[in-house]
Amino acid sequence: MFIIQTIILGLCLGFVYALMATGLTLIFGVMRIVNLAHPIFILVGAFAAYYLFVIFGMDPIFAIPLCAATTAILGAITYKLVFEKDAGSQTYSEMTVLLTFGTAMVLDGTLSYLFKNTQRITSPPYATDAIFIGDIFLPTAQLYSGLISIALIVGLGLFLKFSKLGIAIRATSLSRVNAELVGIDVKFVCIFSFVLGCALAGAAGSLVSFVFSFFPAKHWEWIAILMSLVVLGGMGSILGVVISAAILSVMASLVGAFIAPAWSTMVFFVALFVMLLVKPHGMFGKYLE
Amino acid sequence: MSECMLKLENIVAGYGYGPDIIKNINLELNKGDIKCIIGPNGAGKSTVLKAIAGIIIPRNGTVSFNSEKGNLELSGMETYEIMKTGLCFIPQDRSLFNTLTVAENLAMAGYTINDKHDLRVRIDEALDTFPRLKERLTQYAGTMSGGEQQQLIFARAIILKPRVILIDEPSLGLAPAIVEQAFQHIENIASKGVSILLVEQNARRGLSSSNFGTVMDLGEIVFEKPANQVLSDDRIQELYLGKRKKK
Repeated sequence: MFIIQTIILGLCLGFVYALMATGLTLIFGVMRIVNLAHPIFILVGAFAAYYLFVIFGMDPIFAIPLCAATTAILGAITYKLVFEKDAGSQTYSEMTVLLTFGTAMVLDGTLSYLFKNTQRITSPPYATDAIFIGDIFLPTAQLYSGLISIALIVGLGLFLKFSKLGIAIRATSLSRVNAELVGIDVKFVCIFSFVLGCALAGAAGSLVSFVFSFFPAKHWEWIAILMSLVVLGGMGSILGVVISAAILSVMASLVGAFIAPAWSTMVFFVALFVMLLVKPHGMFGKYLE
Repeated sequence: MSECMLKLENIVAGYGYGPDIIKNINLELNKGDIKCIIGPNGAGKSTVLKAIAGIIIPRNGTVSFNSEKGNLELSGMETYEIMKTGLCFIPQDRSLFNTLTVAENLAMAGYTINDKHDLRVRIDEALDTFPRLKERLTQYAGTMSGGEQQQLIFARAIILKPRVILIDEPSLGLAPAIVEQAFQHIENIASKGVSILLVEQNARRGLSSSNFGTVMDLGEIVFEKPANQVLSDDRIQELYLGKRKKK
């Protein structure tokens, strides 16, 4: 029973990680931006959820659209200020690593100044509740956040699979020139994908706010985990990210339960290390031109 | 005198901050004509097509296109805007989205068509022309054979009902039988009144399907003649077609 419980909790947490990483992989896939600032957008979402809860008593789950909107707007501003000018430059992808690192520093500093580096967590009623199915004990916070995460990812998947704009996003991620040749406004698709990725970060932030305790510098911890998921799944592949998050998170839970919690994060980095040695383009990744 | 669809005047273009690759290109393409640009490697043939399609922006000169809505000045427009005006460009690398399905590739070809019913009808028409693709709708484009990919490319082109199609090296990397098919498709499309500007390394094959031949060298047009006369011109044969000199 204990193993099943550990696996279910690992999966729930895995789906939350997957949602956190989806935006990162989407933005990389379409724009070749390695967005090191992605986790700080998640934190902005988490802070938005926290204050909406503290001030207005708003449930973080219902606050998802507002948190997503907050980071989407912030994303649009960041894109205009930081990335638009250099889009199309030959060293764009390399440059974005520095640009997003800088963005992360600026936002980190701003959040630290505004909110101080103290631990916070949103505490809606279900955050401390749990349900029992037979002998299996499931904390509702993790269960809800996992289910909502997977629902959002499935929604994103359906959008990318079936909508005209979704197919255009996938087409652009395959080849910008060929996308232009069928009349796709690639600049618009890029901005849209970036903003969508940031909105996903905000949505994830809202869920994270009652699952993990957070503080402004927390994002450095997350970027390492998220990058390992993205690399493992294959840069740009959303399915890859979901699968790698599910597998690694379950493994991390098992390690945490049977060895020691302190060792659980190691799973992500060992997996990253092995993957880079064995199959550097990841499970579902393509070799980049 | 037939209607002029595309007119290039004094086009100068090059890449990045590099030198001019093409200089003072003047070219006209009439309705229903197939014009083939030939010339040695590095003559700037593909660059002419890229300058028309807006992939590189001409440094000087004008490209005027006789679109449905009247005469349009293309130079300075973004590629995706040019593709909305009724001009279609098929580049060397075939421009398919390899990991999208055939159906998705066709849907993307009609990205600029907003009327869903109209798009449906056009896709059905294209599928009637290339029935093989009907069986392949759910398959990834990149997993099809060279000949089928070729069909998909022309199917995508006719969905847009373009007035002018620019084609860069249709024979590149294809088996001889499939090259024949490609030129058949090109001739069929042109017979419906679409003008085609072709760049072809295989000059003999390209010219035999064309009405006009344009010979380029070192970024300039050397001369233009009806295609059959280009083929029989001794000087051109020696220079570009590799005919042995008589001893």
